[in-house]
Amino acid sequence: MRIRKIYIENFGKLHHLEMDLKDGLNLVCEANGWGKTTLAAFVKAMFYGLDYTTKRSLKDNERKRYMPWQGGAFGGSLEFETGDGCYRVERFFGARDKEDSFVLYDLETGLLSERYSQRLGGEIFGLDRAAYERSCFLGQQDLAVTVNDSLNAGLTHVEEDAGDMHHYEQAMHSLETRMKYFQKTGGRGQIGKIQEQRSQLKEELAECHQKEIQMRQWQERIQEKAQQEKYLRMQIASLENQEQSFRDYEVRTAQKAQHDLLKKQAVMKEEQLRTTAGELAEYVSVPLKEKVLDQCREQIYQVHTMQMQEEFSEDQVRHTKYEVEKLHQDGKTLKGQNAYWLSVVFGVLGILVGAVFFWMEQVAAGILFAVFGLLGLFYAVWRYRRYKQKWNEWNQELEQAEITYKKAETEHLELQKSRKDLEKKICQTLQVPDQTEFRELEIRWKKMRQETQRYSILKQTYEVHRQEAQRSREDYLEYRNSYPEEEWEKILNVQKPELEKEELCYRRNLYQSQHEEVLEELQDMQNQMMRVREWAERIPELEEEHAYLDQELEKAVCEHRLLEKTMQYLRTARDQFSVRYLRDLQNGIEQYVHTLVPEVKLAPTVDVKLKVGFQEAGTTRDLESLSAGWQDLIQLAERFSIVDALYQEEQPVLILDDPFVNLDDRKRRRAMRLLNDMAEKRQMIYFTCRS
Amino acid sequence: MKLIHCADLHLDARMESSLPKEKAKERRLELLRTFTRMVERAASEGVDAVLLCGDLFDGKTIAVRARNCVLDAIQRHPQMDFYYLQGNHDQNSFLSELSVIPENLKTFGKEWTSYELGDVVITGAEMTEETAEGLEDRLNLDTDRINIVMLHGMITEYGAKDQKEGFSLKKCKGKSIDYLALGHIHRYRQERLDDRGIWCYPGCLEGRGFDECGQKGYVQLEIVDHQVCADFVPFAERTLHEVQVDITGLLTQEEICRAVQEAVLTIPGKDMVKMILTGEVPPEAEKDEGWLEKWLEHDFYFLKVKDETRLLIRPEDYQYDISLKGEFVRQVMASDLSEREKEQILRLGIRALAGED
Repeated sequence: MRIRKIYIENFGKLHHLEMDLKDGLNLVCEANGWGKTTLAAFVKAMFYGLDYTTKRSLKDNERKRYMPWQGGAFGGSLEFETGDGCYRVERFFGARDKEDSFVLYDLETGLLSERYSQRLGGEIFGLDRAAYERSCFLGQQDLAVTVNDSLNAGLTHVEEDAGDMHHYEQAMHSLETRMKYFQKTGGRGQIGKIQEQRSQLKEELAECHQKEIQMRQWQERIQEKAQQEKYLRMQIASLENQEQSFRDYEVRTAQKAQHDLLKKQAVMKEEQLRTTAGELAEYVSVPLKEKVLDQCREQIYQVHTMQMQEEFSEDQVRHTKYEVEKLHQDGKTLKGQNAYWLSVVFGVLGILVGAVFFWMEQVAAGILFAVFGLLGLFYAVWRYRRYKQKWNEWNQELEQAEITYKKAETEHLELQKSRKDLEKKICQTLQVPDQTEFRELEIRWKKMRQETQRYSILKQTYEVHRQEAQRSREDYLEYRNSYPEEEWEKILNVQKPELEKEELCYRRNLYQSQHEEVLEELQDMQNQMMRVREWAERIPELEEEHAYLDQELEKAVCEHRLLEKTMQYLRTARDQFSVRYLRDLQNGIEQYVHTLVPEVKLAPTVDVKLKVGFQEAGTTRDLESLSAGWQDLIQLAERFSIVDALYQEEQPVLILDDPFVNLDDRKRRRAMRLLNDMAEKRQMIYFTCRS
Repeated sequence: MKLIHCADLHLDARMESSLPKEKAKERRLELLRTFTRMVERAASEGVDAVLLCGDLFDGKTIAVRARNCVLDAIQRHPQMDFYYLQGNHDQNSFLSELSVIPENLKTFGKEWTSYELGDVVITGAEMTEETAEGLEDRLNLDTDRINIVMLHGMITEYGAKDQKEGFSLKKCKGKSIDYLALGHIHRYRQERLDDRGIWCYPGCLEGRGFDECGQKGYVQLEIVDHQVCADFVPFAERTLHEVQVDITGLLTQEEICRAVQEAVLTIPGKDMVKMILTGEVPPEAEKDEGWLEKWLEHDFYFLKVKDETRLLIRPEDYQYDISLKGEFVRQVMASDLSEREKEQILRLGIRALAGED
């Protein structure tokens, strides 16, 4: 490959720089600080673009490092020639890789080309950016540093720049440390720890499962025992029932006896009542009540009294009648004594005679007769008044006597009537004919009295019997109603249980003692079961923990395995990487060293760790034993051999930044000659500040 | 009438989220507490019944504490009925340990069993290998009643012959089902069954692993005017989140941290987070899962970081790289390792060569 032209729009400090390059060696003689490294970086950026990284240091962040100092479009173009044509690549960069632009022109047609993509460098050289940088750019400082610091690493400065090989051991150490965290020798480490915990847990879990099995066994036994307990309980209950039945039988028997007794009493009382009722029924009519009889007796005596009163009254009537008759006689007598009319007549005659005398003027006679006449009138008035008084008195007496008589008569009649009424009533009461003699009434009354008393006693007896019968019946009915009918069925048809009370009691006691034993056993079994159950109940918790540890273990094992594999792949990669270039590198180094110093026979060696040494007197020696110039020389040879080894097909442009500064003149001349030879097959840009 | 439909509580089960021992223990207790909280809430809201559609417990052995806790919650609320249909995980562990089954705990058998609750008829059957065949065909319901059917299994369009918990949704259509209360799937899902009813998986009550992310809770049913209304009620103590963070183009630890922080900004601190780093990152990117976990350790109840990033490495970049790194990359890329392994080894190797731990 050949670069024909470089045009830098803006790249770092370089600005509007145009450079035409020829085949072979291109010498650029510029002062320090011109921008040779920037130019080299630009060439690399044209082929590989600029990497995007968040790294802040300018050394690690090229995009930041080569941002144009003066601003403006960041990038440029590069015309190059490969085996299949001429192209111009134009790249401009932004702050992020997404803002970058890439255009490729085919210079023969002038059209856009898709022959190469943005990964232009990789596609042309078969190497990535870092490899290109490490191999094709030979910096003076780099070389010096390499020479000074990396003699032990030999050719590994290729990896040194990438940071790989230096970090390999560190990486392996880090991975190993992490692996050791998980697993150390002797089963120690996190995995061992988890495994141990897990194993303990597993044992515990197994024990818990064992306990769970035991628990199940206990549960089964408990169930069996519970069945036994249930059977005994049922037996006891059955016996208790039987005992209860027996008690019921006893109670019912007593109840039946009571029932029969009450019934018998009720029947007896009923019979008694019937007898008494029969006796009562024999009475056609109900005898008079004693009270009535008492009244009757009183009435009899009252009649007797009334008879006496009647006699007396009769006397009274007679007497008063006599009195009235006598007064009537007296009145007649009194009427006969009515002579005042003569006095009146004599008086009037006297007056008249007197008047006549007066008229005849016989005054004295007139007066005498007048006075006589007046006296006669006065006498008449006095006599009349006296008569009137006596009449009135008589009249009053008569009236009084008549009243008394009538009253006596009335009373007598009333008394007589009352007596007769009473007699009639008594006769009616005593059911004897009217006007029965008092004596007979008396006899009759006594007889009836006896009857009444007998009846009363019978009735009382009947009442007593009736009450007794009723009470007995009520007692019976009350007793009968105190239980429902179906209960009476049971009471009346009570059967004696097969087993005797004592037998039942004996059997129940037997079962109860067995039951108590079983209960004790059951309790004991339950306690046993509860003890193992506590273990069994821990299973979910332990399983959880086990699952957690499983997960942790799996994670740890997985991590360990990954670390192991990572180390394995890193180891393989290192070996592969080393072996891939080892022979070519070794031959190349030997050839270039021979070209540079043909008078010295040096046999360089490269081990798989890409450590360069040289053989002398059958032993391999480190480069450190050589001088700085020799180290530089061998370093240069390494670089050229690396380029030879890396670029098999398309040869890249080598950029050399005054790498021969440490070489003596002879060696430098030889080196320059070598460059000229090398420039025949590849283009080179050689920067130097010396003419 | 109000009912609560929940399923797949997996009480006392092991946690699947790689929690540390103490936190796993705490979570197990939280699962129990969430159940009791739900029952307390149901009681305070006058809920008539709780439908437990399977997998109340997780295995044959259940802790006495868990058993007593559930039993106590049931016994303390005699006004509420608990309809407990066993799932494939229950294995009769709870019922077999009860000497006396509380009156308000209703259980089901291998064939259809129905309970009446006012106007509602709750019917259920536990699915086993023997009963699953033709179980749907044997379901006969009264059209005039409100029918709630409980099942624990995986719905399939035509019935899964290879799965003992599978049942045919198609066969359940036109069976006068108003609400098909299901369990087995740990994610809430509700869809129409037919013109009359709906089917619903309430999901689990609490997430146990990062395969159970998102809101978890129960479904509250309200039956008004012969209509069943079902609403999902988020109730979990903690929610599990899986957050993917694309860190493509981020190189420094600070940039990655910022991206991660932004991604989890809205997640409450009491929740559990699984962060998955995705994207393509170059080997030099300062990416460290352990560091991220440590950095966010106190921001969440639990956080773990999983690296699923791809290594941004193009083999063609190393095709012509004459260096140990180039050789290493080529060696690894040419190997028959898995792509993931290649990436991990390349990352480890390149970072080691770059002098980084």
